[in-house]
Parts: sequence; structure tokens; C-alpha cells
Amino acid sequence: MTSNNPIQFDRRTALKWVLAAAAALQMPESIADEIAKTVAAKGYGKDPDLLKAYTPGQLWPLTLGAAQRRTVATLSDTILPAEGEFPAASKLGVVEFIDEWISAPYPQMSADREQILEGLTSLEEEAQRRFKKPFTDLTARQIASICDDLASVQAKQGFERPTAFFQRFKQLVAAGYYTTPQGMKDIGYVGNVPLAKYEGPPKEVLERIGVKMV
Amino acid sequence: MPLIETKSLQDEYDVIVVGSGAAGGQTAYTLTMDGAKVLMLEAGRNYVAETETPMFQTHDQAPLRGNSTADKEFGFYDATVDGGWQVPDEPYTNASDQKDRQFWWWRARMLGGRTNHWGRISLRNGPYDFKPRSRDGLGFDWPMTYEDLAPYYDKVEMLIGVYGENDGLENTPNSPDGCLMPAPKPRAGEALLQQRARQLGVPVVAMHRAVLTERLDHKRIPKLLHPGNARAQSILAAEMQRRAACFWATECGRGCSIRANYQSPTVHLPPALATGNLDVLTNAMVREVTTNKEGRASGVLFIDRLTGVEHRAKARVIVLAASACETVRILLNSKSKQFPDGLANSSGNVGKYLMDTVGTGVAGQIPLLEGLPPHNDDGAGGSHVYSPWWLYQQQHAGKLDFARGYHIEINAQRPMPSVGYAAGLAQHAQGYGRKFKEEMRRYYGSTISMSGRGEMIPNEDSYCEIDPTKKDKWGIPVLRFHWKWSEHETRQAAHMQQTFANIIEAMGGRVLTKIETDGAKAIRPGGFIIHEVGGALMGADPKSSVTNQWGQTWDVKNLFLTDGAVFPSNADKNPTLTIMAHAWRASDYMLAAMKRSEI
Repeated sequence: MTSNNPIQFDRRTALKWVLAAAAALQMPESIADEIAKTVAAKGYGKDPDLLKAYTPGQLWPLTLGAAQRRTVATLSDTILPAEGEFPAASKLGVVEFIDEWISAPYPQMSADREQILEGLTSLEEEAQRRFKKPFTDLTARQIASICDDLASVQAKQGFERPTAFFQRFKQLVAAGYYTTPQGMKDIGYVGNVPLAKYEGPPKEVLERIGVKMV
Repeated sequence: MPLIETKSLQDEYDVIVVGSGAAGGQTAYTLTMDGAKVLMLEAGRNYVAETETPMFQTHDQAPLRGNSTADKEFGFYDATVDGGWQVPDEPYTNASDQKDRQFWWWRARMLGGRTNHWGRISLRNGPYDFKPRSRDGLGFDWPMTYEDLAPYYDKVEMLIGVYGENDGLENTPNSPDGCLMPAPKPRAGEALLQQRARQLGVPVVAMHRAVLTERLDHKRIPKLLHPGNARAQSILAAEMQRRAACFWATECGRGCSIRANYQSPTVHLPPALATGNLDVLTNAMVREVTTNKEGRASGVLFIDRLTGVEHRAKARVIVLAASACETVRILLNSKSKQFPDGLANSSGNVGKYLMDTVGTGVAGQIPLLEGLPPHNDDGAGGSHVYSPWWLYQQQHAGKLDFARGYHIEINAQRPMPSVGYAAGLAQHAQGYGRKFKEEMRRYYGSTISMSGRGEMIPNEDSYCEIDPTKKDKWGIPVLRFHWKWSEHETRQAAHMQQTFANIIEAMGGRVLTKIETDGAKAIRPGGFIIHEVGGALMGADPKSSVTNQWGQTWDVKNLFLTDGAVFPSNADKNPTLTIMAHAWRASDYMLAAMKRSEI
């Protein structure tokens, strides 16, 4: 394929996607085994209406209970808190997106399901172990003390699985947040509007990168 | 798009065209503009870009924020309907269960086929690309030269609208004045890559893509394309005025409701329908070409996908333009006493020498592109620059360990964030909270990727045949694929990996993906790049080839192939423009032969 298929540098996601496609092609079992069991529900099929706006839960049943949703909201807002004009992640549908994602009847998303659900459980256990309180009742400082242990690039001893969970969770929160109009503005995307002319990059941008355009 | 139903089929047509994509669209266009009565059969459903395209939808309106799934492999908003590497009820098989010997077959089941979602990259083959065997002793020569096809490249470029520049580079032909539209300026990331790659001797020039950067010149072009045909000129002039220029927003892969990019249903089919000479029947799955006792093609047998009922249609000339593998499948399934091995297969070579494009990619992060002032670089919805192959001389002198070239497709922009993009950045942005948000802003727009697209040499181990047992939902025997890359391809993939790493380094960046020195680990599976061609090669000798240079099968004079099945080689240049040029040239030949009553 060509330019509408830029390679994704999210290798983990890309790898899972390739593996999933491989499974569909009846690849050897050793590869198929690496793929988590796909959620049993109907997907949107190969000819969905592209003009309709969809909401999570409309196409397949969601998974998270009320307590889990609160945990997801608290952790999402810790990762992407409100700042100036930009609301916190949970205000932009990120909780619903993560629920929709882990509930989706597709191999790639099903592969995330187990890790996310297990991670949420261990987060609760850690809150109880350290502070004898549910995660959502912790103070910001207490939440930070847990997240600091999970957010390091190199997992601390004994924190390998929770750290991997945190990494993946952070990716999903970012995916949910930055795909909204507010998130796009926050990150600095300006576009998706019709223009009469395309002028190329502004002069100040070219100066910054030291390029002279002919 | 006005369509007919099975009950309104005429008793006989001049020509039946199977397929409605780049090849079928061009064939029907050329034939009907010159007065031939044509029936076009499309296996998929009708599709109307003007009303179905999600032009400004943001990802948060889509399920899973628009991410790719097994149902929509290029993302929710990709234009493809009922298609993908797996199509329900339409299986195919691979003979080997080895991972590196699989072929992935992408299909679309919709009017216009894959032209609705393609990358719009429109590169001409160069003179070397028609005579590869004469140059290095490998593969096959085309039974024509660049000069034979050049006038048709000119016509196609003017008809569909292609932006680009003339750079005068080796084996990368210039277009005559008046063919190309102005190319958009490089984006910031593209311009930086251009500056740094040039320091390594890698040229970076304007991409050629089928997107209107200005309105088509409806006064000048129709006269050049249809001299002496006033009706064709006026029809085309009217249709050209119904296409808008690009308004520099939304990805081309979604399709284009303002008809600013090329897709067959918005460019080829409207003028063809306006002639009144074209009937289009959708949901018509062609099973075989029928023949009469003289051994000529008499029509086609197709299945109505909605009812499952078999129908027949008749014509003087039959054209297969169903995409390389589907065309081969129809030929091999057209068995009779007279043609026990399938139609047009006296050479035994139908299905042989299937090719795809060598593909691999590398991504990098460029500190110099961090934290740039926000600006709109949506541009033409695809690359503005690329690198044509630049090592012809070194390769010819034997200094490289692979025989053929590749070009580099460059992705360096500030895109509308997708799930994959945001998740990828989040992998590199540290921490959480405000620090994380700051890093996300800083890294946004600072990642780039390069994709190599290289020439594969046809080989004896890459082919397709009819599976001895498996059938699809309609009882039509399916294809079974055999695949093997040679070292020419895997070494080329390794060369791509190293070159891309060098370019990233020259940009002061860091490579984000693992650089493979073993090309076999880097190369994408066969069929993954969706440039499959070959399977019914044109040639100069009826004993070893399937068609002559006009796609006319040697065995059946009134049967033509106008898609990529006839390609004797698969240059690194994306095949679509060459498919259209061949289809136009073959159609001109058909028209002349019909007028001479030869067919």
C-alpha cells in the first residue's frame, strides 16, 4: 500500500495486528497461540455506514462495572488531567472508549482486554496494600506514589506486569484523548478545514529547522 | 451512478468489461467515448463517492476511534467496501504453511474497486523498466518500449489529473509540458528530509499523485484527448467542470466527495455513462468466459450475488480487467473440451509469474522537528515528495548485491492524530500528568517514517492456480497461491533498512524501529503492498506468453486483458498509472480491430 498506510511506530500494536491477520490466514498454531481469545460478539462488518456518529456500547456490549469505570476515570485523569481550556481525559469520553476497546470483538483489542482488566485489579490490590483504601478514594499524593512506581521506563523489580499495564493504559488514554477535537487542539494539530490555497510551511517554521525552500 | 438491473441487459454488446477499477474504468471510458456499446460487470455493490465519503469526520465519531480492525484493515474511514485481505464467503488458500511463503490477496467489492482507497501515487515506468531482461538478464522484457506507451501516459495524466514535476532523473521520465499539475510545496518535515537526504546523495523530488491541485483545463484537454470527436470533447469538458480542485483537507484514502482525486467512479465512469454507451451492472460475480465452437469468446457467465442466480451476457469482444489474480482465476475457471486447461492457456503460463512490490519501513524521531509552531500541513492528503531510485549506475556496474531498484515513500507531517499515532507518541513521552502532556506536545509532528517500494523479479515459485477442492459461496473454485521471495528482494529490503536509518541519522534523529540486516526479516509478506501484477504475461512469443502487447490473448482473438495481469515485470513504480496507460492503448487497438472487422 502507499501513503495512506504509514507504518506505525507503535510496534506492539502493529505486531499484534500482523499476528491477527496471520491467524486469519491459517498460520501455524505457534503463532495463533499468541493471540488472545477474541471476544464473542458481532463487529460492525465490512460495509458500515461511515457517515453516522457512533457511541461506545452501541455496537457491542461493554465490560466495565461502575467501580472499574471509576478506577479507569481516576487513572485516566491522573495521566491526562484538566489544564487550562482543556478538560481532563474522562470528560472527553476516554473511559467509554477504553471500555469499548477492551470489549470489541476483534483480535487486536481482545489482546489488550486481559492486560487491562488484570491491571485494574492489581491497582486496587496495591491501593489496599499500601493505604487500606480503594484506589478511587486515594489522595492525589497517594495515587502519585503508586503511579511513580509504574511510570518508570525500566520496570522496578516486582513491578514488571503492572508497569507494562500502565504503559499500555497510558497509550489507550492518549489514543482516546488526542482523537477528540479538544485533544487535537491540545497537541497542536490544526487542519481538517477546507483551504483555498496550500502555501507550505510558514517562514518561521522553515527558519527554525534551517531549511530554505526554493 | 445510474445502473442497470439484470433484466435490462441487452441481447448483445460490442464489449463486455469485467471489473470497474483502474483498468475497467479506463477501458470502458476509451471504448464508449469512441462509440462502442459496453457492458461493465462489477462483483461488488454500487458506490457513490459524492454521498458516501466521510470527508471531515473526526476519529471520535467512529467506533474504536477509527482504528483498524479485521473488518476495516486500513481503519474505519477507509473507503474500501466489503474488501480486505479476507473477504467473507470468498476464501483463497496458500499451498505452504510457512510464514514466509504466504500471499495475502487484497480485494474490494465495490464500484471502482481499489481505486477508491489507493494512495494515488502515479509514477511512469521508465525506458529500462520495459527492457529489464535486456539490461541485466533477469525476468522478462515487455514486447513494447517506453516510447510505445508514452503517449498514453500523457493522455492518462491529462485525463485524471496528476501533480508532479519534471526532474530529468535517470529512468524517471519527464512528462511533456501540459501533462502535470503543479506539485504542492514540501511540508516542513519533508523539506528537512529533502535537505539531509540530498547530503547523502539521495534525491528527494516532488511526488506524482492523482490529485487536482487546480481545476482541470476543460477547454484545452478534451481536444487533445479526443481529436475529431466533438461529442467526446463536449462530454469530457462538462465532466471536468464537475470536478473541484483539492481543498487541502481530509485523507484521500477515504475517497473524495468533491472528486478532486482520481477514483474510477468519479473520473472514468461519469463521462463513459454520459455517452449513453455504457451499462453498468453491479453485484455480478463473473465465473467464466464462455466460448463458441470456433473457439472465440462469446460472452460471460456470472452470478448475481444478491440472488445467487446464474446469468449470461454476450458480446463481440470480452475484456478481463478484474485485477491480476481475479482475471487469472476467471481464465483458469473457463474450462471446456476445447480449452481443458482454461482459456488462453496454451502456453501453460496462466497464473505464473505473480509479482508484488518489495516493501519495508523504518520510523524515526527528529529533535529538530520538536515543538514547532502549530500550522496546517494537511496538504494534498498524501506525500508531497519522494525519492526515485538513484543507484542505477552502481547497480548496473555490479556494486550492489541485488538487481533492481526501489523508491522511497516519505511520511513526515503533522497529522490528525489517530489511535496508532497517539499511542505511538505516548510510548515515547515520559511520565504522566502535565509532564506527559508537555512531552506529547513536544513530540507531536517530530516522527517520520519511510517506506521502501521496490521491484520484485518474477520467479518460478510465485504463482497461483485453482485449488483442487475449495470453492467459494457461489461454488466457484478458488485460487491457491505459491510464494517465494528471492535474494534480490530480501537484500533490497535490507538495503532499504540501512538507507532509511542513514537518512534519519543525517536528520539528527533516532531510529525508532529495529534495523534489520537480514532482509528476510524486514520484508513484508507477498501481497501486503497490494501491487500484485502478472499471472498472464504479455510477450512477443505465443509459446511462452499469454497475450500480445495489446493484451489480446494469443489463443482467443476477441479476448483482451487490460489489467496488471499482463505485466512482464513490476517496476518499483506503483502500477496503477501503467495499468491505465496499457488499458487505453489496448482499447484503441480493440476499436481499430473492430472497425477493420478483425474481431
